[in-house]
Amino acid sequence: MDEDLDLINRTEAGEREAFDDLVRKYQKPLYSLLYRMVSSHDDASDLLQKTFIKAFTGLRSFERRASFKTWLYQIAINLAKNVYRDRARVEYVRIDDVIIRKNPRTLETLIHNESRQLLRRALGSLPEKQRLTLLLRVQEEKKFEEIADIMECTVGTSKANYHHAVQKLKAMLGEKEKIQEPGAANQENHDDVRE
Amino acid sequence: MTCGNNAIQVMLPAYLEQGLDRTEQLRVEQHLAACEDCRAELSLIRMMAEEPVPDPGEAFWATMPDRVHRAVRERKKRKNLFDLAGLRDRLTLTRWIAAAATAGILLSVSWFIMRAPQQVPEQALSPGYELADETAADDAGAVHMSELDADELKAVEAWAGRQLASLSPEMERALVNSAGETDIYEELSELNAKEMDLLSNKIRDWEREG
Repeated sequence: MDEDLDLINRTEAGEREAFDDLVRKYQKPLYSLLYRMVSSHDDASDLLQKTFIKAFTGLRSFERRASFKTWLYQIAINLAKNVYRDRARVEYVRIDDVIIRKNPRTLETLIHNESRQLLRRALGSLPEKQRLTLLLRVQEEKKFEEIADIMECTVGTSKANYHHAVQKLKAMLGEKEKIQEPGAANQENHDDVRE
Repeated sequence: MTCGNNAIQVMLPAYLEQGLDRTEQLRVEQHLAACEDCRAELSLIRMMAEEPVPDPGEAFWATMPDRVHRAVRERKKRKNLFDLAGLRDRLTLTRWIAAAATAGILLSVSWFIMRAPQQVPEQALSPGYELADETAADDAGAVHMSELDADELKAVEAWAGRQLASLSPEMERALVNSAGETDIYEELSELNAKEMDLLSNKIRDWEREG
């Protein structure tokens, strides 16, 4: 943190290399976050650059008592939200449409059947805050306290968002198991015949 | 069966990251051994955590600072251009405002010059006034009563009142009858300058004839 503040002060004093160091320090974790949010290298790359531009041009508005890293994450998330929302509109999938064609006996089997695409689609159907919280906690390994800072909410809210997100995912993916139970499978086959 | 042990569930990511202390870790492990739902949740979290992120390569990381600075410079350049364009627009706008104001003043002055003889009807009806001159000057310059402003209308009304007051009762009746039952002022307001002059001359003739 002290190191960041020193780099920020030097950047403000006109030392370009100091900001370069900040870019080098945070570009990889930020790219990872952005990529997971928008699922595209081009968009993530563009957003990463925009995040640093915004940070550089708005450095004076950064309050020194806060964490620079958290501030950067806030900028990145806010920038990515628009892209994410656009994508969500395009790729929005109704829960009912997330149908497993295989016949997993358990959720664990499903996961090990490499249904990553299915999981991504299920994640995409979560409300934005829940999805972001899940992403930050599980994929970015942020503590709930950090998530609360980034999302500007309480720790309790971030825990609740996380919990709801996981429960929804489990429900979505678990529903498929029920669909694939013998009776349900017959019904599905019957529907297929009717079509 | 769905597990409702939120305390364990919120610890699962930290368990996966090996970020729990020994006591918490044991507690989670004991729960996992007995809870299929939480084992499934752990698998789900592991799968999300292992979601691969492509590495754009060393060249991408190495050039990022330069790209950021270049983009900032370009933005500044664009901003300066925008500011200059804005200044130019403001100057252009100022010039247009000045031109419009000048044109307005010129029009106003012209209007006063053109209307000056008609603004005071009594002057317009002064002995030296020649109807022929006005006709010759510009027929289109005739002013309709509806074009006069409140002060000018008052002046016309005052004049008309004085003229009517001087008429004999018979003549006044005849005038009113000739205009139907309409208010004299309404009728007067319909007259243009030429008609007003004709009316004025007619009244003068009647006065002369007694």
